[in-house]
Amino acid sequence: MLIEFLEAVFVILVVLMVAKLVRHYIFAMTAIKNAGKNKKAINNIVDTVCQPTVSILIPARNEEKVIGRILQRMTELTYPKDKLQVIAINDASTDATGQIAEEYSKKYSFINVVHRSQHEGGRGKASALNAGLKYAKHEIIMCFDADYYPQRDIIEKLTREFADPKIGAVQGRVIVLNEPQNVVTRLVALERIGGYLVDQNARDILGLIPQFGGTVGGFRRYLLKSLGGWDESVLAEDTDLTFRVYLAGYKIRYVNDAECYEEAVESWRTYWRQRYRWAKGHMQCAIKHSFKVLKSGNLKLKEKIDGLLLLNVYFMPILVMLSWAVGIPLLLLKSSQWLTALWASIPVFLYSFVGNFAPFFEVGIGAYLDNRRRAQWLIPLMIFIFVYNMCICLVAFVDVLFSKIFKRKDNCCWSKTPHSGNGNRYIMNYGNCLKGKDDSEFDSNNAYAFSRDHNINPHYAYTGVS
Amino acid sequence: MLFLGITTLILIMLIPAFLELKRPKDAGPRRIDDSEITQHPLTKMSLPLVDIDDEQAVLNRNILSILTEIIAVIPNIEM
Repeated sequence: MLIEFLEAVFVILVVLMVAKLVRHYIFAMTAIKNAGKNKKAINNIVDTVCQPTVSILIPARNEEKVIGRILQRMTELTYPKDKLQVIAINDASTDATGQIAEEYSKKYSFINVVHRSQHEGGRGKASALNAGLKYAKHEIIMCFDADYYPQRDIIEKLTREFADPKIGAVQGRVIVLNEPQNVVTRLVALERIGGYLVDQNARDILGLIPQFGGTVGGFRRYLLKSLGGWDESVLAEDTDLTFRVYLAGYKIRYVNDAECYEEAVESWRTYWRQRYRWAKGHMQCAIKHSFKVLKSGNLKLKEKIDGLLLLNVYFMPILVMLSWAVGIPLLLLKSSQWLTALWASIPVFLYSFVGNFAPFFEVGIGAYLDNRRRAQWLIPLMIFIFVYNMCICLVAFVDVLFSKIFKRKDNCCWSKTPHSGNGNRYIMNYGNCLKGKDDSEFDSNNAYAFSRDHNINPHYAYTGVS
Repeated sequence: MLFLGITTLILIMLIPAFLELKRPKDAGPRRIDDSEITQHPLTKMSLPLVDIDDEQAVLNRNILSILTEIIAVIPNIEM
């Protein structure tokens, strides 16, 4: 009786994994098929006509090493400055973040700073963004994290999508800036390639649910206001907002050519903290939205299926772990012959789910499309990341479970990723040129190179303040 | 024997990764370029954003978009 029960559980788990795998095969094939296609070429002329006013929110808590870099970049954007408002939200920082932001605000009229006191601040990114939203006056609200470094023309690329009234939000592509730093950053970069270039891109092409990633993206202001802004009670406020946008009848567009650099986590410890937050937040969203997605009249069937798979993505490593726990006793108990074959296939599934839930073939295809042939050599190492993610998701799951059972209120304070500003060394000049292969190639006149050589804050290298 | 076989297989699988880590030939980061933004003269028209619920505005916008495309093509026809 026990064996039959275990066999049934095992088969269900394998079916779920196969479904997930098929979904990713479709994504990978779609990305290959559409590679290089210049979508909506004819609309480019019209696209440039759509130039709404834009407010950019930059939440920052103790980001003195990177805030100067992004604010400087804001001044270099090609978007007309009379249509731009940049709001740096100094969320009760205890370092020089507010000071640096203030200096930029004094110099550039379109840059504003919102200072939050110790009493108001420190309640998380969603809270900081809501505080900034009160001061945003333009039609489109964009968000960038303080450690990001966008293309100069990124606002044009993102805002043109709002010409379609059905588009409620847009998301750009994230590329790891400090990739050469160590093995962690290199593997995170591969995850990002698979996650954006293949996964997000394919979901956009197939008319599924591209996800708003919390940064390098934006919303219509009236939509964001009508949704009540960011939900401060969930850890994954971006995933939460993604589903609220879709449930409200709007779509999200992923813009692959709108690229922005980020500083990836640099150690396994910070990787754990970041992914734990993502996993727990995603699980909270799954509990909050799964039923609503199923019931929604605004979503097509394919969107519902994709939405459910997306919401529950962080449960997958736990299911793989569970399939081990069930499969090993079945193998030892020598159950039926066909089930042994299924057991043998588990390692294949395990290997297929490596990375940030983008399977190895998806990462490989992404690296290929990105012309990163040699970087593909690192893909086998992603197996370790997957095992690590299994532990992260399990701990997050237990935490969510206990929170629900004991009605414990989750503490949504900043569990922020520290940014070292190491990405500065890979930025050649303000014109967005990169070499990054060899430190000796950097231009000595470059402000960032200067800041690195003299071990000073890059902001001061820009402004000449010592 | 099985254990030895599996270990060897895993090691062989990981050799390229260790080689790339030891002597990186593609350590990134990938260069991102700023494409040239062609500022069309019609940019000045700057269409207003419209709400999904405002049917008349959506209709007006669609008509205006088509007209803009037609106007944009006219100089090419002359050539």
